[in-house]
Amino acid sequence: MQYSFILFIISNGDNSGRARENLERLCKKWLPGRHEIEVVDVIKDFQTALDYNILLTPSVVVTKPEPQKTIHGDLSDPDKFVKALNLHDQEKDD
Amino acid sequence: MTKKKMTDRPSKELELEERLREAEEILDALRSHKVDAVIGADQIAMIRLKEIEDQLQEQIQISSNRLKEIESIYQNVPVGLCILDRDLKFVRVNNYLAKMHGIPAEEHLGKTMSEILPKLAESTEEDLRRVIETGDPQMDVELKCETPAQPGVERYWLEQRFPVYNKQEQIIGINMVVEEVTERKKFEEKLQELNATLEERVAERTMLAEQRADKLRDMARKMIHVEEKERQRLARVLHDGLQQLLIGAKFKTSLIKKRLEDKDQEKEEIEQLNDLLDRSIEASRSLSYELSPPILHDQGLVAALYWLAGRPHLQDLAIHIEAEKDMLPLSQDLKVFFFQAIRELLINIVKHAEVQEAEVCISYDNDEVCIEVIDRGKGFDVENLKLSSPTGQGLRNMREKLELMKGKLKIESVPGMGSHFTLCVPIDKNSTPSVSDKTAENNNHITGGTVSVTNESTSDSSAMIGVLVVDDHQVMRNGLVRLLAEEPDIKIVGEASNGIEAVDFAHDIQPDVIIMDITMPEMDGIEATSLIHQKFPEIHIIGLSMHEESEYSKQMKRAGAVDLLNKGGPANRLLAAIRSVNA
Repeated sequence: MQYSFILFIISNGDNSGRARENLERLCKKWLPGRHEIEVVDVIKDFQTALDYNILLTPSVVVTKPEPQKTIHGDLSDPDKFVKALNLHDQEKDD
Repeated sequence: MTKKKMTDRPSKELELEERLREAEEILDALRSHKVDAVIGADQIAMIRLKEIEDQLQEQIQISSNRLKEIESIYQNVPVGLCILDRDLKFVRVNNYLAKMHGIPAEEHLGKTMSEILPKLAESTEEDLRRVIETGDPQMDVELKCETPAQPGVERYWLEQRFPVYNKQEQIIGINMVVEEVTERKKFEEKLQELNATLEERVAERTMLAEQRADKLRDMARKMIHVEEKERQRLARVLHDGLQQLLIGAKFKTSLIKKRLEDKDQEKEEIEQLNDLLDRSIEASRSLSYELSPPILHDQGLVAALYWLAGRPHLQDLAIHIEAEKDMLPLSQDLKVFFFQAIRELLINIVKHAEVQEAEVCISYDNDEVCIEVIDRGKGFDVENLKLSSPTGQGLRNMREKLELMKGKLKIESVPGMGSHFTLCVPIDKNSTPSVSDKTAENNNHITGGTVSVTNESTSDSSAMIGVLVVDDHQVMRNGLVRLLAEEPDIKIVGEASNGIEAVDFAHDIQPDVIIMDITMPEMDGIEATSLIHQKFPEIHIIGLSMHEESEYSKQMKRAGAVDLLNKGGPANRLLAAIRSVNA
């Protein structure tokens, strides 16, 4: 199954930097070869954030698979990520 | 089952649950500071939390720095500062106040005024309580007290007391500003002392200055007096000595001339000698008048001014003299000063004003005499009058003399409009005018000769004219006697050296003719003539004088003299006048 993420950040934000690192690390671990990440700098592209109903940065919107989901924060808690994507079930399935 | 039930749940409920979860997640993220920015969808704005945090940090830093600065100022400002609570316990004390008290700052804290400075507390506690009760600040409260910092020294403080409020506007204490004013106070006290002594000194100095000014004025008066006396002395030397000698010489030449009637050449030389003598007599006479006109001393300032107006150097100027009739007699010095000043001003007018007329006014009031000299001539610029010029110097000297007599000189002039000089001198009523100069009289008396009767009547005395010669100068008398002795019809019956002697003589001998000098000591010729004429109207009295003024001649004639002749005049006129007794 293919996974698509949009990561909303602001440049120079400490939490945003951490979120990007964490997301990339989690994807490598859990979804190697089957994910794509789009990064949106809210300062440069404000409208996209509004379109996705994003209220704070950093936030990650999981556009695929459906239904769409949003994770807030710097993704320092892997459980949250795993839970949101139901990866435990998959792992179990695997 | 449950799973089915769960899936059956309406999608709306699921959506709500999802949103709730999301909201919790947002809150979680916010609480855990894992958020960089918050995006407000409604306002379409974004707040970067980091920036806000940084700004806040910065604000806190600035505030704390400011606080430190203020604290440092509070501690080190050179004025005492403290805060008391409602119980008048020290809450905060700055270093300066602690130093002023002589007690470390930390020892103050939590203690009351009466514990720290019991002496001061007594007098101030009540006032301090009033600040707390009423909230009215107390400004510029002056205190006096002794502190442990300087035991035994009384110090002065100036206090400002303000109430301190909390957020609820309740008074929680007093903020005090304490200034040490001991030095200032001591300075003020010294200043007051100084002021008192200064006034005394000023009074002293003023008195000294006044005394000095009086002395100076006195000296000036003496100086003018000495100057005039010197002038008179010179005039007398000229009159008594030189002039008499010259006249004596003239009589001699007249004698020689008569004896040399047939020797033409010698006669001509004698004539020239005579002429030279005439000119010498005239020169010495005018010099003696310049120095001290006798008329000024005998008849006063106004008469002297009339005389002055007729002098050759002023004859081109028509001088109008205006004076009050009943003038008080002026002191000798003042008379002389005014005369000299008027003379100088008139000469200036002749020299500079290019005008034919001038006016001299003398006026009096109770306190001062004022002389005004006015012309309608060229005028001058008073401001630019050069003090270095002789005229300017003369005026300056005049002004200085006047000032020393407490008088004033006012100069008014406009170029093209003439000039107006006013000299005013206050009259010193205490000093009575000295009418005559005593020493001069004494001197004259010494030079005056004694009564002598010539008893050389040889020929028929009844046919001869008996003449009495009255003159205080021996040389003059001798000259006259020799001149008259040559005449066959004239006999000298006596000589007198002053008026009194003349009167006695007239009484004893009753001469036909008396040749009478005018200015003489003891009694002058005018008075003697008057006395003799009243008793013996038949005696011919001929006035003989150096003074050729008409005023003298009028006075002599009024006294009873038949004629007034000039001492320097031709001998023939005198002889003719003597012989007219038989006419």
